[in-house]
Amino acid sequence: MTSIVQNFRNLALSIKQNGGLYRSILQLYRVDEIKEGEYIGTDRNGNRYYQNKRFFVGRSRWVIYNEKYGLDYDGTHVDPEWHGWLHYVRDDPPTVKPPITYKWVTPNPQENKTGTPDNYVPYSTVKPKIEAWVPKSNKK
Amino acid sequence: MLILCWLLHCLLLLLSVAFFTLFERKVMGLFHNRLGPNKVSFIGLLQPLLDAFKLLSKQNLTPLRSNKFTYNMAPHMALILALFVWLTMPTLYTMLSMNYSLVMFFCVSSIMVFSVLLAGWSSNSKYSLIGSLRSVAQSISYEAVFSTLIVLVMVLLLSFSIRSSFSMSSLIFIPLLPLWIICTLAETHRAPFDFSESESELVSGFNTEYSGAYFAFIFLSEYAVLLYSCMLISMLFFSWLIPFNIFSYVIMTLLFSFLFIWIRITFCRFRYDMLMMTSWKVLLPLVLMLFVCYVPLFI
Repeated sequence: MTSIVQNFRNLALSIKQNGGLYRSILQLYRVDEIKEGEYIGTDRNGNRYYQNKRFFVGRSRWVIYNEKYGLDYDGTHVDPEWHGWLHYVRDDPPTVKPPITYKWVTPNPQENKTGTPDNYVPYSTVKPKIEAWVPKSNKK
Repeated sequence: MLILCWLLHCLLLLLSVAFFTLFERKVMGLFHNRLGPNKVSFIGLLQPLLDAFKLLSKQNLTPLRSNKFTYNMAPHMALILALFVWLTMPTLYTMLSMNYSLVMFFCVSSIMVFSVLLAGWSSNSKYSLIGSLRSVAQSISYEAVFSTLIVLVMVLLLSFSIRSSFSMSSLIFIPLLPLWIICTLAETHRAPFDFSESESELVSGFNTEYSGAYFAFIFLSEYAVLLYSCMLISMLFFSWLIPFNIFSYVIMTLLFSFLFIWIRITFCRFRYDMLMMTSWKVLLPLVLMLFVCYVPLFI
């Protein structure tokens, strides 16, 4: 019985954390789930990271993408520094323990541009990867 | 007017059945700790309607060497019989108030076996045939138990109508509830008794060859009968709650549809010989014993 009450409490808490009923419904529409959790930090794209150990590993850390992405959020919007924390590679988030910066690490990582107008297209002079096979014919 | 009323009834029924499938998928998702369908409109609310639209817009494939007439007739028969079963629902409005609704329910649900038999036989496929034969044998075995239960209820009610159970006296049926639920599960071919569509050995059971609208018809008929069974349980066994809350039987119907999904998600499939043995060796003697004990007590 207490667990049922606790579930309703958690729901109320998550609605409160999402900023009221209307905002929660919007959130539900955008990311299909509202969870209550501890705010961990924000990355350089403006995505917010949360954690709640109540959930099982794999669901206990999550990201709420910046609202500027709308419904077109993508896994590559996650900052590389936060990626390790989000995937349980590192225990501490980069706010607590900053990652080691090597000189080969790019200062401004880019998202996946496939499918957008900015995607990579080789020059027209490049030899195509796939060529039609012209079999040798025995007919004369 | 009656026909218009019935058409509206059927439309609303099919809508509710469609949303019942969504309910099932959502509940199963929650049991698996996943979200279920969520991308169509707001948290997947339009999923069943779009599913129906997709199925109806697909081509109906007919197997080359099947029995065309029977093959095409079986899904229609299933759907129409499922709608007929729903005719016996005791409504607050005098749409079609039957005095023999329990008898009608039992007759129509017995005839529904034939649609499964015809669908499986006329598909000209091994899987369909085996699936339909299994389900027919299962239905006939459990009908023996179920009919005895229904006759017991009729004898206790001194009436053939579901409506006459609307009193406090329906409390005495409560001990019959587990037996009734087992029979309903077997009659509607739900897990753990879903041998007509055991997908691990028979691809999809008796409806393997069906696609598009005909598959939708078979699917709708199965779920319509399941929903009716939930409603019948709440009407027969929990009508004593109605004085407390007029919507109690709606709530009970929802609770029982949840229970059937719960049973589906919890139990694995029975073994076929165990199923038959349970029917003939356990349930039938049990229900006959109940008959002998109940009738002298309450009449």
